[in-house]
Amino acid sequence: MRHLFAVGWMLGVEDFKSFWNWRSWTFGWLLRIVTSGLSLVLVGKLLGSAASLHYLLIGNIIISGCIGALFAVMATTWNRLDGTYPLLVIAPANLIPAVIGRSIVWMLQGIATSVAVLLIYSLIFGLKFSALQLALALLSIVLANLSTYGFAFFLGALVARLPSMRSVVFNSTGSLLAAFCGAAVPISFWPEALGWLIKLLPSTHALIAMRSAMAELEVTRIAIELGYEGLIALLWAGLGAAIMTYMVNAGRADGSIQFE
Amino acid sequence: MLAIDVQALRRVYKGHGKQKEVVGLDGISLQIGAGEIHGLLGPNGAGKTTLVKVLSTILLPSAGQVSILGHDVVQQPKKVRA
Repeated sequence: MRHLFAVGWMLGVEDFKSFWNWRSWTFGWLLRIVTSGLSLVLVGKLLGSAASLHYLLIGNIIISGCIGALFAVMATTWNRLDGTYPLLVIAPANLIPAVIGRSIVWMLQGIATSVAVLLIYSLIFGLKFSALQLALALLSIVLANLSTYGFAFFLGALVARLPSMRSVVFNSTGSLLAAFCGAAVPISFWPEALGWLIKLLPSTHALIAMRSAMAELEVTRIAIELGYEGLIALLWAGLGAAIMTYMVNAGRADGSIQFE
Repeated sequence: MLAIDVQALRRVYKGHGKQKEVVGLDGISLQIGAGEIHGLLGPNGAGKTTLVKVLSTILLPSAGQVSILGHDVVQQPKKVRA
Protein backbone atom coordinates (compact mmCIF):
# COMPACT_ATOMS: atom_id res chain seq x y z
CA MET A 1 0.00 0.00 0.00
CA ARG A 2 2.82 2.37 0.92
CA HIS A 3 4.65 1.43 -2.26
CA LEU A 4 1.53 2.11 -4.32
CA PHE A 5 1.16 5.53 -2.70
CA ALA A 6 4.84 6.25 -3.40
CA VAL A 7 4.47 5.32 -7.07
CA GLY A 8 1.33 7.47 -7.30
CA TRP A 9 3.22 10.32 -5.62
CA MET A 10 6.06 10.11 -8.16
CA LEU A 11 3.49 10.27 -10.97
CA GLY A 12 1.81 13.23 -9.24
CA VAL A 13 5.11 15.10 -9.05
CA GLU A 14 5.63 14.49 -12.77
CA ASP A 15 2.07 15.76 -13.43
CA PHE A 16 2.92 18.90 -11.45
CA LYS A 17 6.18 19.40 -13.34
CA SER A 18 4.43 19.00 -16.68
CA PHE A 19 1.77 21.49 -15.57
CA TRP A 20 4.04 24.18 -14.09
CA ASN A 21 7.67 25.24 -13.95
CA TRP A 22 8.82 27.70 -11.30
CA ARG A 23 8.31 30.67 -13.63
CA SER A 24 4.79 29.74 -14.70
CA TRP A 25 3.84 28.82 -11.13
CA THR A 26 5.17 32.11 -9.69
CA PHE A 27 4.30 34.58 -12.43
CA GLY A 28 1.30 32.75 -13.83
CA TRP A 29 -0.53 30.93 -11.08
CA LEU A 30 0.56 32.84 -7.97
CA LEU A 31 0.42 36.27 -9.59
CA ARG A 32 -3.05 35.51 -10.92
CA ILE A 33 -4.27 34.35 -7.52
CA VAL A 34 -2.73 37.33 -5.71
CA THR A 35 -4.07 39.92 -8.17
CA SER A 36 -7.58 38.43 -8.33
CA GLY A 37 -7.61 38.26 -4.53
CA LEU A 38 -6.32 41.83 -4.31
CA SER A 39 -9.15 43.13 -6.49
CA LEU A 40 -11.59 41.71 -3.95
CA VAL A 41 -9.58 42.81 -0.91
CA LEU A 42 -9.37 46.35 -2.25
CA VAL A 43 -13.17 46.52 -2.09
CA GLY A 44 -12.67 46.36 1.68
CA LYS A 45 -10.13 49.19 1.41
CA LEU A 46 -12.52 51.28 -0.69
CA LEU A 47 -15.23 50.80 1.90
CA GLY A 48 -12.88 52.51 4.32
CA SER A 49 -13.49 49.81 6.89
CA ALA A 50 -10.44 48.25 8.52
CA ALA A 51 -12.62 45.35 9.72
CA SER A 52 -13.89 44.61 6.17
CA LEU A 53 -10.36 44.81 4.80
CA HIS A 54 -9.08 42.43 7.48
CA TYR A 55 -12.02 40.05 6.90
CA LEU A 56 -11.33 39.86 3.17
CA LEU A 57 -7.57 39.51 3.68
CA ILE A 58 -7.94 36.46 5.95
CA GLY A 59 -10.63 34.99 3.69
CA ASN A 60 -8.42 35.34 0.63
CA ILE A 61 -5.37 33.86 2.32
CA ILE A 62 -7.31 30.66 3.03
CA ILE A 63 -9.43 30.45 -0.11
CA SER A 64 -6.56 31.11 -2.53
CA GLY A 65 -4.87 27.93 -1.28
CA CYS A 66 -8.11 25.98 -1.43
CA ILE A 67 -8.45 26.84 -5.13
CA GLY A 68 -4.94 25.44 -5.59
CA ALA A 69 -5.87 22.25 -3.74
CA LEU A 70 -8.98 21.84 -5.91
CA PHE A 71 -6.70 20.93 -8.83
CA ALA A 72 -7.00 17.48 -7.24
CA VAL A 73 -10.51 17.23 -8.76
CA MET A 74 -8.88 17.14 -12.18
CA ALA A 75 -5.93 15.01 -11.09
CA THR A 76 -8.31 12.35 -9.75
CA THR A 77 -9.78 11.94 -13.24
CA TRP A 78 -6.47 11.81 -15.11
CA ASN A 79 -6.15 8.04 -14.66
CA ARG A 80 -9.38 7.73 -16.66
CA LEU A 81 -8.00 9.88 -19.47
CA ASP A 82 -4.60 8.13 -19.49
CA GLY A 83 -6.29 4.74 -19.77
CA THR A 84 -4.50 3.53 -16.64
CA TYR A 85 -7.72 3.37 -14.58
CA PRO A 86 -8.76 -0.19 -15.56
CA LEU A 87 -5.18 -1.37 -15.04
CA LEU A 88 -5.20 0.08 -11.52
CA VAL A 89 -8.55 -1.58 -10.86
CA ILE A 90 -7.31 -5.06 -11.80
CA ALA A 91 -4.02 -4.68 -9.96
CA PRO A 92 -3.76 -6.86 -6.82
CA ALA A 93 -3.41 -3.71 -4.67
CA ASN A 94 -6.07 -1.17 -3.77
CA LEU A 95 -6.76 1.58 -6.30
CA ILE A 96 -7.33 4.34 -3.74
CA PRO A 97 -3.75 4.83 -2.38
CA ALA A 98 -2.50 5.14 -5.97
CA VAL A 99 -5.09 7.80 -6.80
CA ILE A 100 -4.42 9.69 -3.56
CA GLY A 101 -0.66 9.43 -4.13
CA ARG A 102 -1.06 10.96 -7.58
CA SER A 103 -3.40 13.79 -6.58
CA ILE A 104 -2.13 14.87 -3.14
CA VAL A 105 0.65 16.98 -4.64
CA TRP A 106 -2.09 19.54 -5.39
CA MET A 107 -2.85 19.86 -1.69
CA LEU A 108 0.78 20.92 -1.23
CA GLN A 109 0.26 23.45 -4.02
CA GLY A 110 -2.66 24.81 -2.01
CA ILE A 111 -0.61 25.10 1.17
CA ALA A 112 2.27 26.78 -0.67
CA THR A 113 -0.17 29.20 -2.34
CA SER A 114 -1.84 30.18 0.94
CA VAL A 115 1.51 30.69 2.69
CA ALA A 116 2.80 32.81 -0.21
CA VAL A 117 -0.40 34.90 -0.24
CA LEU A 118 -0.12 35.35 3.54
CA LEU A 119 3.44 36.63 3.16
CA ILE A 120 2.56 38.96 0.26
CA TYR A 121 -0.55 40.39 1.96
CA SER A 122 1.40 40.83 5.20
CA LEU A 123 3.98 42.90 3.32
CA ILE A 124 1.40 44.96 1.42
CA PHE A 125 -1.16 45.52 4.17
CA GLY A 126 1.09 45.27 7.22
CA LEU A 127 -0.59 42.23 8.80
CA LYS A 128 1.10 41.49 12.12
CA PHE A 129 1.22 38.09 13.82
CA SER A 130 2.46 37.00 17.23
CA ALA A 131 4.31 33.65 17.23
CA LEU A 132 1.16 31.87 18.47
CA GLN A 133 -1.06 33.60 15.91
CA LEU A 134 1.33 32.66 13.14
CA ALA A 135 1.43 29.03 14.29
CA LEU A 136 -2.38 28.88 14.44
CA ALA A 137 -2.67 30.61 11.06
CA LEU A 138 -0.32 28.07 9.49
CA LEU A 139 -2.22 25.20 11.12
CA SER A 140 -5.49 26.65 9.79
CA ILE A 141 -3.97 26.84 6.31
CA VAL A 142 -2.76 23.23 6.43
CA LEU A 143 -6.11 21.90 7.69
CA ALA A 144 -8.15 24.02 5.25
CA ASN A 145 -6.12 22.56 2.39
CA LEU A 146 -6.36 19.04 3.82
CA SER A 147 -10.15 19.23 3.98
CA THR A 148 -10.35 20.89 0.57
CA TYR A 149 -8.22 18.06 -0.78
CA GLY A 150 -10.64 15.54 0.81
CA PHE A 151 -13.54 17.39 -0.83
CA ALA A 152 -11.71 17.49 -4.17
CA PHE A 153 -11.05 13.75 -3.92
CA PHE A 154 -14.79 13.21 -3.31
CA LEU A 155 -15.72 15.40 -6.29
CA GLY A 156 -13.05 13.73 -8.43
CA ALA A 157 -14.49 10.31 -7.57
CA LEU A 158 -17.91 11.53 -8.75
CA VAL A 159 -16.56 13.23 -11.85
CA ALA A 160 -14.52 10.15 -12.83
CA ARG A 161 -17.71 8.93 -14.48
CA LEU A 162 -17.87 12.11 -16.58
CA PRO A 163 -14.25 13.32 -16.92
CA SER A 164 -15.23 16.01 -19.45
CA MET A 165 -16.92 17.85 -16.55
CA ARG A 166 -13.73 18.09 -14.47
CA SER A 167 -12.86 21.72 -15.32
CA VAL A 168 -16.45 22.89 -14.81
CA VAL A 169 -16.56 21.23 -11.39
CA PHE A 170 -13.10 22.60 -10.47
CA ASN A 171 -13.97 26.21 -11.37
CA SER A 172 -17.49 26.28 -9.99
CA THR A 173 -16.45 24.65 -6.70
CA GLY A 174 -13.80 27.32 -6.10
CA SER A 175 -16.40 30.06 -6.56
CA LEU A 176 -18.95 28.26 -4.38
CA LEU A 177 -16.44 27.79 -1.56
CA ALA A 178 -15.43 31.46 -1.74
CA ALA A 179 -19.08 32.47 -1.54
CA PHE A 180 -20.36 30.09 1.13
CA CYS A 181 -17.62 29.14 3.56
CA GLY A 182 -17.06 32.61 4.97
CA ALA A 183 -14.09 33.72 2.87
CA ALA A 184 -15.64 36.77 1.23
CA VAL A 185 -19.23 36.72 2.46
CA PRO A 186 -19.96 36.32 6.20
CA ILE A 187 -21.71 33.03 6.97
CA SER A 188 -24.40 34.98 8.82
CA PHE A 189 -25.47 36.47 5.47
CA TRP A 190 -26.85 33.11 4.30
CA PRO A 191 -30.20 31.67 5.44
CA GLU A 192 -29.94 29.69 8.68
CA ALA A 193 -31.24 26.60 6.89
CA LEU A 194 -27.95 26.48 4.96
CA GLY A 195 -25.92 26.65 8.17
CA TRP A 196 -25.39 22.90 8.63
CA LEU A 197 -24.40 22.52 4.98
CA ILE A 198 -21.91 25.38 5.21
CA LYS A 199 -20.37 23.79 8.30
CA LEU A 200 -19.73 20.64 6.27
CA LEU A 201 -17.86 22.55 3.58
CA PRO A 202 -14.07 22.51 3.65
CA SER A 203 -12.29 25.57 5.06
CA THR A 204 -15.34 26.98 6.92
CA HIS A 205 -13.98 25.97 10.33
CA ALA A 206 -10.37 26.80 9.43
CA LEU A 207 -11.51 30.32 8.52
CA ILE A 208 -13.31 30.67 11.85
CA ALA A 209 -10.16 29.38 13.59
CA MET A 210 -7.84 31.79 11.80
CA ARG A 211 -10.14 34.76 12.38
CA SER A 212 -10.41 33.75 16.06
CA ALA A 213 -6.61 33.48 16.30
CA MET A 214 -6.22 36.95 14.80
CA ALA A 215 -8.79 38.28 17.29
CA GLU A 216 -6.82 36.60 20.11
CA LEU A 217 -9.78 34.51 21.25
CA GLU A 218 -9.38 31.44 23.48
CA VAL A 219 -7.01 28.81 22.13
CA THR A 220 -9.44 26.05 23.18
CA ARG A 221 -12.15 27.47 20.92
CA ILE A 222 -9.68 27.71 18.08
CA ALA A 223 -8.51 24.12 18.69
CA ILE A 224 -12.12 22.89 18.53
CA GLU A 225 -12.65 24.59 15.15
CA LEU A 226 -9.40 23.11 13.85
CA GLY A 227 -10.53 19.70 15.12
CA TYR A 228 -13.79 20.08 13.19
CA GLU A 229 -11.81 20.99 10.08
CA GLY A 230 -9.77 17.79 10.45
CA LEU A 231 -12.96 15.76 10.83
CA ILE A 232 -14.44 17.39 7.71
CA ALA A 233 -11.28 16.32 5.82
CA LEU A 234 -11.75 12.72 6.99
CA LEU A 235 -15.46 12.81 6.17
CA TRP A 236 -15.00 13.94 2.55
CA ALA A 237 -11.98 11.70 1.93
CA GLY A 238 -13.92 8.72 3.35
CA LEU A 239 -16.95 9.53 1.21
CA GLY A 240 -14.66 9.92 -1.79
CA ALA A 241 -13.15 6.48 -1.19
CA ALA A 242 -16.63 4.94 -0.85
CA ILE A 243 -17.86 6.63 -4.05
CA MET A 244 -14.74 5.57 -5.93
CA THR A 245 -15.22 1.94 -4.86
CA TYR A 246 -18.89 2.11 -5.88
CA MET A 247 -17.99 3.68 -9.24
CA VAL A 248 -15.44 0.95 -9.92
CA ASN A 249 -17.99 -1.79 -9.25
CA ALA A 250 -20.68 0.00 -11.27
CA GLY A 251 -18.15 0.58 -14.07
CA ARG A 252 -17.28 -3.13 -14.17
CA ALA A 253 -20.97 -3.93 -14.56
CA ASP A 254 -21.89 -1.38 -17.23
CA GLY A 255 -18.56 -1.17 -19.05
CA SER A 256 -17.94 2.52 -18.25
CA ILE A 257 -14.65 1.61 -16.56
CA GLN A 258 -12.93 1.35 -19.92
CA PHE A 259 -10.96 3.97 -21.84
CA GLU A 260 -12.58 7.38 -22.16
CA MET B 1 -7.35 -27.68 -11.52
CA LEU B 2 -8.40 -25.60 -14.51
CA ALA B 3 -6.57 -22.32 -15.00
CA ILE B 4 -9.59 -20.84 -16.80
CA ASP B 5 -13.12 -22.17 -16.63
CA VAL B 6 -15.81 -20.31 -18.57
CA GLN B 7 -19.40 -21.54 -18.60
CA ALA B 8 -22.11 -20.02 -20.85
CA LEU B 9 -20.56 -16.56 -20.58
CA ARG B 10 -22.66 -13.70 -21.89
CA ARG B 11 -21.68 -10.04 -21.85
CA VAL B 12 -24.02 -7.32 -23.04
CA TYR B 13 -23.12 -3.64 -23.40
CA LYS B 14 -26.12 -1.50 -22.63
CA GLY B 15 -26.82 1.21 -25.19
CA HIS B 16 -26.73 4.88 -24.20
CA GLY B 17 -29.63 7.05 -25.36
CA LYS B 18 -30.78 5.87 -28.77
CA GLN B 19 -27.93 3.32 -29.09
CA LYS B 20 -29.08 -0.28 -29.05
CA GLU B 21 -27.48 -2.73 -26.67
CA VAL B 22 -24.60 -4.73 -28.09
CA VAL B 23 -24.01 -8.39 -27.33
CA GLY B 24 -20.23 -8.77 -26.93
CA LEU B 25 -20.23 -12.43 -25.90
CA ASP B 26 -23.10 -14.86 -26.25
CA GLY B 27 -22.84 -18.20 -24.48
CA ILE B 28 -19.08 -18.80 -24.58
CA SER B 29 -17.78 -21.88 -22.78
CA LEU B 30 -14.16 -22.95 -22.58
CA GLN B 31 -11.76 -24.69 -20.26
CA ILE B 32 -8.00 -24.19 -20.22
CA GLY B 33 -5.76 -26.26 -18.00
CA ALA B 34 -2.80 -24.90 -16.05
CA GLY B 35 0.30 -24.57 -18.23
CA GLU B 36 -1.58 -24.84 -21.54
CA ILE B 37 -0.98 -22.24 -24.25
CA HIS B 38 -3.79 -21.28 -26.64
CA GLY B 39 -4.39 -18.60 -29.26
CA LEU B 40 -7.56 -16.52 -29.40
CA LEU B 41 -8.56 -15.71 -32.97
CA GLY B 42 -11.57 -13.94 -34.40
CA PRO B 43 -12.66 -11.01 -36.61
CA ASN B 44 -13.22 -7.47 -35.34
CA GLY B 45 -16.12 -7.42 -32.91
CA ALA B 46 -15.94 -11.14 -32.20
CA GLY B 47 -15.49 -10.45 -28.48
CA LYS B 48 -11.81 -11.35 -27.95
CA THR B 49 -11.05 -8.24 -25.93
CA THR B 50 -14.32 -8.51 -24.03
CA LEU B 51 -13.45 -12.07 -23.04
CA VAL B 52 -10.00 -11.03 -21.82
CA LYS B 53 -11.53 -8.11 -19.89
CA VAL B 54 -13.93 -10.46 -18.12
CA LEU B 55 -11.09 -12.90 -17.36
CA SER B 56 -8.97 -10.08 -15.93
CA THR B 57 -11.92 -8.73 -13.83
CA ILE B 58 -12.17 -5.39 -15.62
CA LEU B 59 -15.70 -6.25 -16.75
CA LEU B 60 -18.36 -8.31 -14.99
CA PRO B 61 -20.21 -11.01 -16.91
CA SER B 62 -23.87 -10.29 -17.73
CA ALA B 63 -24.58 -14.01 -17.34
CA GLY B 64 -22.70 -17.28 -16.96
CA GLN B 65 -19.79 -18.25 -14.74
CA VAL B 66 -16.08 -17.54 -15.02
CA SER B 67 -13.39 -18.74 -12.65
CA ILE B 68 -9.62 -18.41 -12.65
CA LEU B 69 -7.70 -21.11 -10.73
CA GLY B 70 -10.99 -21.93 -9.01
CA HIS B 71 -11.75 -18.35 -8.00
CA ASP B 72 -14.96 -16.78 -9.30
CA VAL B 73 -14.37 -13.43 -11.06
CA VAL B 74 -17.60 -12.00 -9.61
CA GLN B 75 -17.46 -13.30 -6.05
CA GLN B 76 -13.68 -13.35 -5.52
CA PRO B 77 -12.09 -10.68 -7.74
CA LYS B 78 -9.33 -9.94 -5.19
CA LYS B 79 -8.22 -13.59 -5.19
CA VAL B 80 -8.26 -13.63 -8.99
CA ARG B 81 -6.02 -10.54 -9.06
CA ALA B 82 -3.61 -11.73 -6.35
